[in-house]
Amino acid sequence: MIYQYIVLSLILFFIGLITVIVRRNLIVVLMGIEFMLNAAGIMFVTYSRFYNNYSGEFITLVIMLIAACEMAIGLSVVVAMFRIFGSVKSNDIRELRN
Amino acid sequence: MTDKLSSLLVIAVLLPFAGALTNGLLVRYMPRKISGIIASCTITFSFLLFAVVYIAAGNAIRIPYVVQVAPWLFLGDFNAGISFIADRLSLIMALMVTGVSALIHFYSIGYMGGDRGVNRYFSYLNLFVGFMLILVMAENIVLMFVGWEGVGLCSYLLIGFWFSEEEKANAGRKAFIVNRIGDLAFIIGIFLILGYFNSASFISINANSYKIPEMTAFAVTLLLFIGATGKSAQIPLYVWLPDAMAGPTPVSALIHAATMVTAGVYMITRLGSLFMMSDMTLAVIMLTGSFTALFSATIATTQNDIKKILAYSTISQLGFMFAAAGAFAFSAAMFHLITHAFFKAALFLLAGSVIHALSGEQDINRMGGLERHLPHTSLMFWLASLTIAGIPPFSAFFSKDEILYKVFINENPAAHFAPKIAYIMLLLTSFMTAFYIARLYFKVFSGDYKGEKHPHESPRIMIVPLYILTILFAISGPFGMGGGIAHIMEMPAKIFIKNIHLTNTFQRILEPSIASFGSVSSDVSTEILLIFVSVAVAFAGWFSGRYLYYQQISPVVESFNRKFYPLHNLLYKKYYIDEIYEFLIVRPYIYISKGLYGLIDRFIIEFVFIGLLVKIVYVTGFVLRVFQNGYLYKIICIGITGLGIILYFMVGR
Amino acid sequence: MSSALLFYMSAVLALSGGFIMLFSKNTVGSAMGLLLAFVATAGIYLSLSSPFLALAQIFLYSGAVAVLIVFAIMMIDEQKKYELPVHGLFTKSLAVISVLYTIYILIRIVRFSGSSRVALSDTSELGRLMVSDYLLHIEALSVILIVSIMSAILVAKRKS
Repeated sequence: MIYQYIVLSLILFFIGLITVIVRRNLIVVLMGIEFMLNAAGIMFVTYSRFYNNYSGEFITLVIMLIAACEMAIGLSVVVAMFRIFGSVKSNDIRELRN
Repeated sequence: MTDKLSSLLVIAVLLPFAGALTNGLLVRYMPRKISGIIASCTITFSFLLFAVVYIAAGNAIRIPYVVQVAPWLFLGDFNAGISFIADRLSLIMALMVTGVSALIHFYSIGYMGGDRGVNRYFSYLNLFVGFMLILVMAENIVLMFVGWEGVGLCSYLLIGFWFSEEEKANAGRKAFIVNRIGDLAFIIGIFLILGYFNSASFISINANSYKIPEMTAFAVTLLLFIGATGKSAQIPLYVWLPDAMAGPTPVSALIHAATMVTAGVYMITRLGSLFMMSDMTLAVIMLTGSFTALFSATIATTQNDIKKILAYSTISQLGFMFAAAGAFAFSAAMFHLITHAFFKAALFLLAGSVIHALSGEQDINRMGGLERHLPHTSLMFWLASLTIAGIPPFSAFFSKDEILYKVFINENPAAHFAPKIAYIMLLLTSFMTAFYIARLYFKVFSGDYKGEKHPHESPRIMIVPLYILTILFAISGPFGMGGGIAHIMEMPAKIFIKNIHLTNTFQRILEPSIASFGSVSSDVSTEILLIFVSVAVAFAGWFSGRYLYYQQISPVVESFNRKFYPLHNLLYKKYYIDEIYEFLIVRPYIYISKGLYGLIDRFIIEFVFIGLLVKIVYVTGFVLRVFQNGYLYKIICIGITGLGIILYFMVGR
Repeated sequence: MSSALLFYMSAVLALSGGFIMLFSKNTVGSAMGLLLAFVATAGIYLSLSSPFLALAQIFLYSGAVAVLIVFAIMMIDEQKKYELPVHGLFTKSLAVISVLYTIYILIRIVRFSGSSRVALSDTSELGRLMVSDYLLHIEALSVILIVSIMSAILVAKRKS
C-alpha cells in the first residue's frame, strides 16, 4: 500500500512544480508552491505511519505552519507588487533586468 | 608606592588625553577662549599630580615601581602590558614634560588666541602631551614605541597645522617621512630585543643585558640609536627639524625643543645598561652627537630666520646630550636635557613673542632695536642667551660643563681617540653657540629698528609663563653642579659654614634609576682647569659676537663675508645637505618609483592581473547572463535542473 | 468504508483538484482546485489513520490558507472580471464538491474506527513530543510566526 501513497505524493508534487513553471500569475505560482508542500507532507505522514515514528507527523505539522507563514508573506509581497507594477504577471515584473 | 599613588599616576597620564578628547570632539562647538583654558588646566593638574606622586612616594621610587594598568599583548609566553614605570628618572622627566607643557599651553592661549583653528590646536597639543607621557612612563619598550609614534603623529599634525599653505604641509610630511626611517631602525631594534630577551620590560632588559653577546649588543644598540637620531634630529636624519619650524611657535618650543626631540636621549638613558654593553655604539653616539653639535652650530651662525637659528641651536644642544650619553654620563645628559628644555623653550617662546610683536616677521635682518619696544622680552632673551652661551651662573653653564668634563675623562676601549675628538668638537661648539646666540640677540634687540610694522609687547598671559621659565633656567644650574664647580664654590662658602660639602644633587637623585660605571677617579684640578677653559671659550664667543654685530652692519662682517664667500655661502646654504639628499635619495627614489610604477603597476598589475581578471569576469558574466534572464519560469527550470543533478549524484547512481 | 477506498477516492479528488488548479484560466478556479486538493489531502491523512493531522489540514490549509488566497485574489483582481469567487457552473460545482467532501471527511474523522492496517496515530504521543523533544522547534516556529506576521504587515502596508 505504501507505494500508492508515494506515487500519489510524487504526482501531486510534480503537478505543483509544473504549476509554478508554466503559470504566469504570481498568485497561482504561490498556489503551486503550497501544493508542493502539501505533497511533501503526504510523503512525511506516509513514512511516519508505516514505520510508526512520530517525527514525520510532527514535521508535517511544522510544514503546515511554515506554509501558512509563507503564504502570508508571499501574498503581501504580491499585493505590494500589484500596487507598484499594476500587475501580478511574472513576465511583467522584470524590473531588475532593465 | 601605594595603590592610591598608582591610580593618581594613571590619572595624571590620562588627563591630557581627556583634554584632547574634550577639545577634539567638541571642536566645532567649543568657544575659543574655553578650549585653551581646558587644555592648560588638564596639563597643570597632570603636573600637580606627578608632583604629588613624586613627593609622596619619596624613597619608594629609588627602585623602579611598576604600575600595571591593563593587559595588552599576549604572544605565546611573551607579554607586554600597558604598565607604567615609576622611578625617579621617569617621574622627573614627566614633571619636566608636564611643567614646561603647562607653561607653553598658557602661553599658547595668548599666542594662538586669534587663530581660527585654536580648538584643533589645543586638542593636538594635549594629545601630544598624552603620548609624550606614555613614552616617558612606559614600562616596556613596545608601549614606549606607541608613545614614540604618537608624538611623531602629533608633531606631524602640528607642523602642518596651517595645512592650507603647501610649504607648511610639506614640512609636516617631511618630518613624518624622515622619522619613518629612524622608526624602522627602532622597530627592528625592538624586535631584536624581543627575540633575544623574550621580554619587553625595561627592568628585565637592563637586568639581563650582561648576557648579550658583543655583536648583538652592537647591532641592537646601533639600531636603537638610529631610531633616536630620527626622533632627536641627529646626523644624518636631522633635516626635518629646521623645516618643522613651519608650525606655530609654541609648538616649536614644546615639541621641537623641549620634549619630543629629547625622547631619544631619554630612551638611551632608560636602556643604559644595554648601551653599556657595546663600547662601539657608545663611541658612535659620542662622535655623532659631538659632530652634529658642531655641524649645526656652524650653520646657525649664518642663518637669518630667527626660528631656524634656534632650530639649528636645538640640534646642536641635542648633540651635546648625545655626546654625554655616549660618554656614559647619563646623569649629565638628563640634566642638560632638563636645563635645555627650560632655556630653549624660553628662547622659542621669546622668539614667538618677537614674531607676535612684529606680526609674523621672522627675518632678523628686518628687526633690530627691539630693546626699547619689548622690554620684558628683551630682558628675558638676554638672560636666555647668556644661559645657552654657557656663561655662569646660569644653568647651561653647569650642565654643559659637566658634559664637557665627562667627555674629556671618558675612556672608550673600542675607540681611544673618540673622547678627545669629541671634546675638541664640543669645545668649538661652545664657542660657536655663544657666537651665534650673541649674533641673534644683538641683531634683534640692539641698534635701530629696520622694519615697518609697529612692535608691541605681548599680553600678560604670554609674559608670565616666560618669567617662570626664566626663573627656572636661571637658578636650576646648581642642582646639577659637577665636582669641580662644587670645589670652587666650597672655598668661599667655607668662610661661613664649616664642613660644607656640596654635591651634585641631581645625580644623587637620579643615581638609583640609571646605569652607571661606578665612580671614575676624578682629578679635581683637571676639572677646574676645564671649567676655566670652557668659561673662557663661552665669553670669547659671546664677546666676539657682540663685537661683530652690536653695530648692526659691521664692516668686518661684510669684508669677511666677501673674502670667504664660498665658506659663508656653504654655511648659509646649510652645507647643501637638503640638495644632496634630494640628489642622492629623493631623485633616485622618484626614478625607481616611476620605473616600478611603469613595470609593476601599469604592466603586471593593471595589464596582466587586472586585465586578465576583467576578461575572466566578462566571459563568466557573458555565460551567466543566460541564466539571469528575469523570467521566473526559466530561473525555476534552472534550479530544478540543478536539483536533479544533485539528486542524481546523491541517490541516482 | 475501508481505508483503501478512502485513499483511492481522496487520491482521485486530489489529482483532479491539482489539474484544475493547473489548467484553470480563472484564478478563482485555481483556488477552488487547490481547496479541493487540500481537503482531499485531509482524506489521505485520514486513510493513514492520523485523524489529528487531517483535522489540522482542514483547519490550516482549507480554512486559513485557501481563504487567504481568495482574499488576495479579490484585493488585486486585475481585470475586475470576477465580481465574486463563485462564478460559472464549473467553479460553482467545484466549490460544492469541496464542501461536500469536507463534510464527509469530517464525519469520517468523528467516526474514525481505526480499522486500517496501520496502527492508529496516538495524538497524545505527538503532543508529548511537541513539549519535550521538539520543544525548541516549537519555540522557533512561534518566533517565525510572529516575524512573518509583522513582515507581512510591513510589506503590504501602503506607503503614506
